[in-house]
Amino acid sequence: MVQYAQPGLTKSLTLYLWIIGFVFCGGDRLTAQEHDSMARGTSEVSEIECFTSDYGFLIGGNYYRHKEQVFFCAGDIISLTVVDNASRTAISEAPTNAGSIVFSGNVTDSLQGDSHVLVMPADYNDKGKAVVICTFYVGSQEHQIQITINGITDRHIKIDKSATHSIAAYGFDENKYPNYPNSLSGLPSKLLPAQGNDKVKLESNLSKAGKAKVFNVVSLSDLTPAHLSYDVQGDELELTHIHAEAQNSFTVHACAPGISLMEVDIYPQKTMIVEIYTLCESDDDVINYCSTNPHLMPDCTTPIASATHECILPGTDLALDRYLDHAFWRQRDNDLSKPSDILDYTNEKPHELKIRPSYNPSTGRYFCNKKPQPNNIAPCPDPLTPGELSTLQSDLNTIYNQAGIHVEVVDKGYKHFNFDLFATEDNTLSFQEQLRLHWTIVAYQGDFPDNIVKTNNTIIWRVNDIPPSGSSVINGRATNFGINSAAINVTNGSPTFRTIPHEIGHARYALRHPDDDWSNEEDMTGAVNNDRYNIMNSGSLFQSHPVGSISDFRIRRYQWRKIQTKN
Amino acid sequence: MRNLFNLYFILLTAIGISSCTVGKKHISSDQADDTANTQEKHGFTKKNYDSLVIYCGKDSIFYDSKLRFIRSSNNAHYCLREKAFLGDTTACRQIATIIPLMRNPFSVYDEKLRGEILFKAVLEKLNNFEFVPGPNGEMDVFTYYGSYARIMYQMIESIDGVSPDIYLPNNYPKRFATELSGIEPFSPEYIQKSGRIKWEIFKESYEKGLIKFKAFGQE
Repeated sequence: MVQYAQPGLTKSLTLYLWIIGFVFCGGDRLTAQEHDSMARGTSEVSEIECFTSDYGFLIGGNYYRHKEQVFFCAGDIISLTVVDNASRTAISEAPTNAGSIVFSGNVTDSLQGDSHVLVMPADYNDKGKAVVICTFYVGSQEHQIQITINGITDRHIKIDKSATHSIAAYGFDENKYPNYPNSLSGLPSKLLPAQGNDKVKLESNLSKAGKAKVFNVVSLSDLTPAHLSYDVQGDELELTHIHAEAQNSFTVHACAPGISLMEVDIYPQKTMIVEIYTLCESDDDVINYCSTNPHLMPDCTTPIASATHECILPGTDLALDRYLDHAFWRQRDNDLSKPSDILDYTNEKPHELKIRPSYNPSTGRYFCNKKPQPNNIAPCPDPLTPGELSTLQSDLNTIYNQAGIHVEVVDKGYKHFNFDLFATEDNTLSFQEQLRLHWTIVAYQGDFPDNIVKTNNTIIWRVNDIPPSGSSVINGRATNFGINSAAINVTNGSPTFRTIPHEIGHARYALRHPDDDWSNEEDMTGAVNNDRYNIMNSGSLFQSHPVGSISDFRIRRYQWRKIQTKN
Repeated sequence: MRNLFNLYFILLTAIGISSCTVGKKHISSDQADDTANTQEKHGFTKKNYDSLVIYCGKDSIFYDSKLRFIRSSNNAHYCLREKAFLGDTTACRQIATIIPLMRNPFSVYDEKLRGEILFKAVLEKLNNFEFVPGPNGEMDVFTYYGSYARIMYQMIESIDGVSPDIYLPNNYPKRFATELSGIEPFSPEYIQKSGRIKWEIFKESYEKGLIKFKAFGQE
């Protein structure tokens, strides 16, 4: 029998109304205001004098004060004991020796005693929270204490998508763009290195105190799966991979399987080696005849005696300069009255062009009539400075660490190399020249141009110039998707910190522009034109939406998956 | 006073129930809308389920009733590719079904394809000599065939006992000499016609049984 304190009817009606309110609609949501209001004791219920702060609740080894809010996962078994605050002993025992102990509120008491066992949320009418009131007598004095038990929901704990970027060392994708592949779940995604760790930020709609309780409860035992370990410090959740094998695509739950927090991909850490060459057109062909008497061998004594003699020898690149420029090689530099040299080549292997001497049957003599391309007409690019090398290594790691890739940059220095195949535009790399430059460095392996062999290390050529495309300056250009080389226009272009990571995305990982309708990834459901932070956006998006620094750029989940399979 | 109390109680209870019910409907309605939006957004309608769904483990790939790609879940394409690479005939057939439905890029199926079923699918898909964009949008360098022919090269152990990188250059010069005569080397016309000649050599080699494919699981 509950005895209400005076003045009686008004307060009795208020309490009755409060209970009715809880039975029918209490706990649909816990607001910060509600929590603060209860914590400050300003609710109407707190005015009932028989509620006391001398007693509290012991739940799962933790003590909770009268009127405190506690948080548990659905399905948790909650064993609750009412204790004396001073001695921390159960109230039925000494020194309290309480009697007539009854639990009420949103629970039904089945057994007399100072303890009660409940299961969330079944015992709470699926309302998500409930008040447990314990009424008991100490001597002739009646006491009541209460506690609010909240079922944790996805409003109480979730990933703070914007703040996570500032603390995550590896990839994090907030999953904002449904056209991207793998966005079906709507959950954010995290890349974690195998046997490594990383952090995400948690957020909640609760007040600071409520958040701490939820995050604490979750950190202890309610995060799954088990092949990760979890640690919560404040609002930072640290994930550590503790399983022997890397896996991808599993969901981290709080209150498993009730609340889906994020999807996690785990990959072994890998290394990408990037070789930087500063290219200077070499024009290194060598005359293989006597320059003062082109009938003779270089010793200027021995006559050229064979139709298969090579008038010009290629340099270290094994191919003649401008080997596709046949008009150039037919010029008669030594004697306009004599015939052009003979061009010996096949369309299948044009780089094997040989310059043969003409033959005069009346004299029986051979004659070489062509001189090679003069060396270095155009300026060469400046070498990479130690500062630029350091910045480049840092920038590349800022981007590719997100995909679990550690980048090592090796400056291969200044390289004199013949890449001019067509006209006289020395130190300007056209697209055809770039394709053949790649073919040259892989020693002409594979069937050009359909099956060019890709290089193991990523090759970046720093060149003086790349011809513009229409009116657009080309700052960088991958040779083709997936064959692992690219050129950067360092003198006449305006490459930014983004250019090399972007071109490596094309060259090494076959990534495409997400904002091009004609070229985006196969399993995208349409172009994404508003993700300004995607490292693979085409230049057109950045002209209208400039981005501040390299750390603003993101590797999205569909990209880190492709990167991991292709590295 | 007792009657007044009862009236007060009934009135307040009615108000409480009424307001809670309205709140519930609102939440329920929101949830229903969200669900409908999600279904619409991801194509999970009954109509779409009636079309093509390809499963691999717990993942799946959806095509609409006109066999247009809608959505794949998480690991589906990689899962299929790995199973096919190791010789799972069903996975090979599923990828052979997918390849003709694909837009331009081969995406994850640009490597690690093995076996005759997939070779036939790739061969047919590459019977296309239109120009497609290069990495920076260049439109006069790569045909569709030229962009993806390496997938075929990488599926083949040998043609008539030698690698395709040797067989092709040994066999196309004769046709080049006659069929490309007078065409400027590496001009767009040259690139398209030379690609077709190479594709036809692949096809003839296959039809003559000259091709030995790489084994399943072979890198």
